[in-house]
Amino acid sequence: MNGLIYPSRQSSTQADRSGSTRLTIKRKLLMAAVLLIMVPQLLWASGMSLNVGAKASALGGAFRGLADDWSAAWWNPAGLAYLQKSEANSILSIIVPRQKYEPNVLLSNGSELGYRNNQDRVPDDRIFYYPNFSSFYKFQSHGGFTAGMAFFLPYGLGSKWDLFDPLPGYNDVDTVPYARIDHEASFTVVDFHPSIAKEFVKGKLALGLGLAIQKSDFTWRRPNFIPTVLLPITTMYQQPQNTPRPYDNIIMDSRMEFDGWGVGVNLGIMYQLSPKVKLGGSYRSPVNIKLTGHNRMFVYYPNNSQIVANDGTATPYFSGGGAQASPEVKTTLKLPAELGAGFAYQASEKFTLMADIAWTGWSRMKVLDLNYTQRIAWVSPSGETFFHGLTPIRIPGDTTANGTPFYGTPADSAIVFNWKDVTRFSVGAEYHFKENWIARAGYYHDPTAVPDQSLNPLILDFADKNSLNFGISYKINVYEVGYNVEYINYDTRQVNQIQDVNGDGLFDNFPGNYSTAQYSSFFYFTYRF
Amino acid sequence: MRKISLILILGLSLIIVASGCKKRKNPVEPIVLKQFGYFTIKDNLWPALNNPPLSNTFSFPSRTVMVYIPGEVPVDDQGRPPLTWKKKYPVLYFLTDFGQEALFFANTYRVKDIADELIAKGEIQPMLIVIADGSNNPHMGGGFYVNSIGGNYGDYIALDLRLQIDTLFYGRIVIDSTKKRGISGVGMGGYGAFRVAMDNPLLYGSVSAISAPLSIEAGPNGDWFNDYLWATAVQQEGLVISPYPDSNKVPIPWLKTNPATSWLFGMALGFSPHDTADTDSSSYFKIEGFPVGGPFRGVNLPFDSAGVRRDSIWNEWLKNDIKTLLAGPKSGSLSNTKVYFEVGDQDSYMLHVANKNFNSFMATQSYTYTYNEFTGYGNFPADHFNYAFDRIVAILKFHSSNF
Repeated sequence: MNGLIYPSRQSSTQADRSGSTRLTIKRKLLMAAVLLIMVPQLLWASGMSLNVGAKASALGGAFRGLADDWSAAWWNPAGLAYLQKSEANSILSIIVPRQKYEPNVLLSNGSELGYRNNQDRVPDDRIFYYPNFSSFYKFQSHGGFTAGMAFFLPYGLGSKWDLFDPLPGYNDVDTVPYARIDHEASFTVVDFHPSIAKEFVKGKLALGLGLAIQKSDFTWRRPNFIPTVLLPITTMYQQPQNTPRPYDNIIMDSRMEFDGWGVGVNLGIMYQLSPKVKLGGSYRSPVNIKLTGHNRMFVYYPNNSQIVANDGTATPYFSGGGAQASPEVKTTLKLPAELGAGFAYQASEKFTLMADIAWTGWSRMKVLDLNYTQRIAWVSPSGETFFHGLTPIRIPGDTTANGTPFYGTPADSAIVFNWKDVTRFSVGAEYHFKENWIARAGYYHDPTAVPDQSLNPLILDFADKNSLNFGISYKINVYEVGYNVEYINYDTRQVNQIQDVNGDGLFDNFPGNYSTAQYSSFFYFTYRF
Repeated sequence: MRKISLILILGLSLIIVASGCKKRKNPVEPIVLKQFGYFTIKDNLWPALNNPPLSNTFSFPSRTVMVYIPGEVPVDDQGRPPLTWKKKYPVLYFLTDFGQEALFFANTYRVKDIADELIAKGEIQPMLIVIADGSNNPHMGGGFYVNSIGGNYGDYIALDLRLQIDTLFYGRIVIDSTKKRGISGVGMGGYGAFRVAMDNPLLYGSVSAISAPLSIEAGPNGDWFNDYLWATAVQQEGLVISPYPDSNKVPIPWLKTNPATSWLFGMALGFSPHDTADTDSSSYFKIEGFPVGGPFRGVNLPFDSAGVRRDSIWNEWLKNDIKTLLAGPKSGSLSNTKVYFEVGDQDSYMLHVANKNFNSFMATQSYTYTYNEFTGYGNFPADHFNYAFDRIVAILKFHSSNF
């Protein structure tokens, strides 16, 4: 059925015309591998994407034209129609991102904010273990079709950083030290993916359809800087000319945690152009994930007894300590659509080449609007309620708001992304080097979706990426086990100008020097029945 | 060949996986050594401020000086190191602004915290920082650190204070050397730092000033005295000079809400105290109550009640103008001194005009100097001293690099 992975005798004969041909292919494979390794600047999946499926990853994601295992449910569901047998799969992806960031976060006039500038900073070392499971069954009824369910993570990763400490003299660090982890992001999308595929023209055409039921968890943490002029101090320290730095801003640790659900679909088509060439195409719809969560805000008040002695109205704000609030927040995460096409060319009985091109509409990720639904009091660590606030919480449609005292603040009203669409290019090769053994290699180039104006160390997509992949698998009767490894190198990137894109007073990008690499391992097990 | 290929691929995979497992760490944060606070000297140790014509109730000869000692020095609660301690440090004298007491300055602007951090990071060398003020609160706010009827503030800084720090109190941890001694200040203190350094060229190796009136006279880039100080005092703050002799009184206590008027009289106290032999009282302002019971002293302003400039008084002011002094009688006095001065580009006292003027002058001279103009961001303009953190950092780095 699948003339590419399990080649017919005819194609085998053609490929084995001479032993020298086989040798040449092996040499080419080896040279290609060496050349890929020697490429000095190798680059990866844009935005927050993860590769789905060990085999597809080993081929650098050049999988739409082949799509011959369960991960076709994500890459091209039409490929499920060509599964040899029903199958159950489990995969463990182990991903190790290795970000490095040298901050140069300064105010527009060059003044320090408290960032650990000009130091090579790394996040806490983390290893992400992502399991994938799937089971697809080939039904013989109704002319034969394949259906089943996959469970995988198409988006993910995150990081925890220590990048910031208030400027000396801001407060009494011995009593309320600033949180060590001050910047954090974690983003995971779990996709429950029922799919169905059917071959409509035997040996020629198959179509597939999938439903993406996605659950997302999203965490976002960074310091906010609230201008002191917004404080309800009635005398001199509300005036910029009288407020000595570093008290120009009150520092607030803001940590948002959300979760929510969204639904999308994907469609695929597989067309056998010739005995050796197979074409595939797929479309994934955008997904809107409605997120609900809380913003856990903690204000670190400055501590300056002299200012308090000088101006009694400043007492609540310049006596150190802190206050906290945790209002509910809602937002919508707009994940992108993707359109891709690829082909697979069976060069010989044992050797197949693949290539893919895919467009991802990351420009949907413009702004994550934070809609606060609660008015909430600030509570000190000792439980004292603070009846003074900072910027009031805005509740759309709340007409009583003007006459009611507000307590608490959301400092940031939106997280700015302004990402751009990207087109990724992938190539892969598969080689049956021994009976029951298959080696795979793949490469892809993937531009970054993140512009300078919103680049930050929290999301891994620092720069254009090149990915190099190797894999190997072995079949024992109805079982198959495999392993592949991926190395992604990112271009180094430098951002110079700090920007507040939406004018909310909080900068949206983090100037500095970015560099990173990522290492991944995939172990998989398949049972066919 | 097949085996070699397989081994090569597996080997590469192993290297890749191993590379990803290497443990990484952020740079170790430096340990910040700290004393528990500032040390103070507050006994009656300042002869230069003792018994001035306006009396001790005006000059406060028992005034407090704040001393920062690097955290690495194992001092006792009096600031004394053990007898075995051998290391000595340079000293930076910092003079506070008009009406600012040393305690207020040290605690408000957290000089200690800033210095501790910069020393820990190796961005400045350990040094003593002596914070002194020339304030006579609540009376007139100050006399610009010159020797005057309100006290010999110039001598207080250059002689009394240096003697106490270098030889008496901290003699065992201070390097008694011109190169290792710097002087700085903000506003009135910046003027005082320049003035003291110029009057005592053999004592200080470096001098700096934040937002200081370094050029008061008319010049190609502006006229600070006429355009700001006098105009604001008269037109906005309501200063009136009565034509009747002996009827004008110096406003005491000075008011923060009338900064130009306060500075005007503070400068007059330092630059043009009223000579009791002077029969022209057309711009005479009496300092009522000092000394108690009289005869009262006073100051002369450079303009009389008719708005006519009194050249004799104005010349007295020019004799105290830093730029005029450097161009004339004190020419060359900073030849062996490293010089730094700076200003915010939105100074409420319009001192950016005066500093630009002074910078133009310095460019024609042969001194080694650095001029810096701070700019603000967003709705936080660079005013007289609101960029306190940044400017203290810059000053400490400047002096450290010249010690």
